[in-house]
Amino acid sequence: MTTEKEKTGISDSVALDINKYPITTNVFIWSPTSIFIYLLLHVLSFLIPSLMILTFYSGALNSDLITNWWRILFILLDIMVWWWIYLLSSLFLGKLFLIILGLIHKPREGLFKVDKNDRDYYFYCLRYTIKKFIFWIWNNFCFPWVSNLAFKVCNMRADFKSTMFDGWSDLEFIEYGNNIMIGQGAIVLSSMIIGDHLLIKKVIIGDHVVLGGNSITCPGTVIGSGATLGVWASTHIGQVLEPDWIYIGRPAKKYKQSKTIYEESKKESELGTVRRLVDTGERAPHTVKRYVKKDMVLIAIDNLEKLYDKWKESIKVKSRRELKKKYKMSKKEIKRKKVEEF
Amino acid sequence: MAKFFLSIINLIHTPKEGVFTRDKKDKNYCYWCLRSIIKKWPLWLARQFNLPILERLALKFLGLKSFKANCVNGGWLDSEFIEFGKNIKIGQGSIVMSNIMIRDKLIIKRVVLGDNIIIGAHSVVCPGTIIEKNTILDALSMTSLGQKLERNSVYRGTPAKKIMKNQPIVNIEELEKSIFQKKTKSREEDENLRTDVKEMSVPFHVYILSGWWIMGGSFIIPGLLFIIFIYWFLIPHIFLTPFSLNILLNFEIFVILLFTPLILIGIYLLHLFFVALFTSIFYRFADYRGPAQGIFNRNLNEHWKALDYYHWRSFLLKYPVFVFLKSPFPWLLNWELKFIGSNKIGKGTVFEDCFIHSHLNFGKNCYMGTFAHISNHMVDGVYGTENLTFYGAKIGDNCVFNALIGGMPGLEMGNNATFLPMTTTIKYDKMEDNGIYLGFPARKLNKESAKKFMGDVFNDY
Repeated sequence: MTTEKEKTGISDSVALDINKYPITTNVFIWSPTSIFIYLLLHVLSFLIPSLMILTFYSGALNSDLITNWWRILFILLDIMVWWWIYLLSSLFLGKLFLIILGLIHKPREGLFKVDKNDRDYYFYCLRYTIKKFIFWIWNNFCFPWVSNLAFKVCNMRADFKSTMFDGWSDLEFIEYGNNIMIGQGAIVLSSMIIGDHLLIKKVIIGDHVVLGGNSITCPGTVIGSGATLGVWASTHIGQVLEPDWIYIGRPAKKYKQSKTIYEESKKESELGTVRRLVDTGERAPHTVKRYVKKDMVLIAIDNLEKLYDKWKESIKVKSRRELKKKYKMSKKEIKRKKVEEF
Repeated sequence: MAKFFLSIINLIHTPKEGVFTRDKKDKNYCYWCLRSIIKKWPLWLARQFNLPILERLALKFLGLKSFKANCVNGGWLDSEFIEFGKNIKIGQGSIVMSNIMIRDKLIIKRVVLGDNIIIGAHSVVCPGTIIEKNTILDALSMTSLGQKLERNSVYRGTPAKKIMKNQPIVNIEELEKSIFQKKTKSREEDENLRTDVKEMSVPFHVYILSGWWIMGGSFIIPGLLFIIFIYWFLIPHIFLTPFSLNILLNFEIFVILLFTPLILIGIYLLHLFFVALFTSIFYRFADYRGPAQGIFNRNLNEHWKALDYYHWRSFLLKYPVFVFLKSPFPWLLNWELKFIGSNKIGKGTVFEDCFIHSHLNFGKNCYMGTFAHISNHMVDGVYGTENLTFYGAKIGDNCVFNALIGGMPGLEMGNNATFLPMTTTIKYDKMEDNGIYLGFPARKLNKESAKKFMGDVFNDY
């Protein structure tokens, strides 16, 4: 097989099959201007919060810790405010720079040469550094899902219900849907190296999409609503995934419809789960507790069952008491008889 | 300072390649541990400032030869025994490692990367690999130990096989046309991309309040101490005295200057302690009220108390683990997880930069590599209405999880087992003692396949 592929690779070197081309990464070069912008952003966005921190003692505490000691108890509010101002100022400044860069040179899709002299590629690098700065700050926040706001501001449609902080996502030409999930270590690429060129193509992800852990989405993919990309799966350039299907493998292929998977797993968990013994290759039963949500009727039935049990027990206790009484009575009678006999 | 310590240690014991036992009696292993601990602090500092140049400088300073890699997008590089060429691109989440642990052995072997190499996203370069000029290692693939990749070619798979030649593209305009031929419809035009959005019934206010208290509340006492230290101690003693050489001769000031870093580190540790304390209080409450391990029939738009507690509990663990793992003292994580009561962790277990969840019980002397991820929950079905499996893992003593492994819920492992890089299990897998596993789904390596993967480097299997 390998020899055949090699031959075909040599023969059609001109017409490159883009679906078989290896998935690589994106690349950006640090030019002096980008480093300058990067440092400038760091300094500017840290200006206001640092001023607030430095004036905390003289401003909030009135330079007296003994009488105003209670103010320290509210330092958690202060820290939150400092942090938020840092985040928002970084976002504001970053957006400002991005708008200016967009005015100088409009970002566009295409194949660009990886070279500083190429204007498209040069501005791609500049945009990338600014966005990198913004996302570094937002991902280090204690509520990481707030970074959805940063996604929104950086021209990537996103909503606040989706979780997208665990993976690596490219920072432009992506359109996210509502309620999506990006798994741990999943990668969404909208730019990729082909030969000595950089391909930039828009990725569109629909509503309710789940990208599995460590999966890779290549530039140009369109994922329909409700589709799932499995663990360790990858798409090829320009692939279109149909809605409500589960895709696995590399490049991704249809596996099963997501509804059937749901029903199958439900059945399996009701019948009893099976575990794989890896060393021997056998299967063995494995008991896992199943939780079912109880609605009002189920809860009422549960309560009735409990009441019935209580009632039964009380009857048992009553019967026991009666038995005891009878026993005692019988004992007394026997004694009487004995006494009478004597 | 780190360079100073490193050079001293290297003078005492020169770093060597080879196969060593993971034992305190083995000198090579001991010194490897020492070196990696010393390197941790400067590398952490360099990563904190988020300037890739700084990290590159730090790596170069700590002994990487001719480090002119163009681009390391969130990838991971071991900091010794790697030789770089020029113009190398390393992808997101991919790992170049010069040391690997297999059972009780530590293997260190030199990795040589030539010029113009591209290593795709999520791929692993194992120790001993030699990659020649102009080759591409595809994404999601791995080289075997001591493999040699030829020049001008493209490799793919685990272990990597040659699939085609890497040739320069001739017709760029045609290629561009063929790629951009189909115009993708945008969200508004295409109906396949939209569905009715389901309302989620997640109590976000509880999350925000508890998270806020954990994060901000842990700053109250350390903050008080910090302000007292600065305004009552540092400013009157040091900043208000006019600068002259006499300051250095003053014994009092000298002592204060010596102790300031210690006090600052102490305050930082106090903050970490309070983070762990508050989370443990919340976590125990959620654990007491919440469900144990099992399968849930989840419907996100319906309110269910048991699931709410489950979601809250998993949220609570997120920030403390993040803070401890990204702090300069990552080994405190073991103490923290034991203190919170979410995991049982044996003595001597080491966590690198990995993902950690609750209900994973580790034995003694385990090792979790970079980006390793053992999960405790899995979802089957459509978003919103799904079967959620929540089940922890039981792991024996001396287990080794190498970089980029994945574990699904219900994993059970014996002692002395090893996961090679990129191994992933299925739900409820059970492993016996002494195995070496590879692939997705994970399979035990028999003698031949083990020899294929490990070559002449490791013969004891």
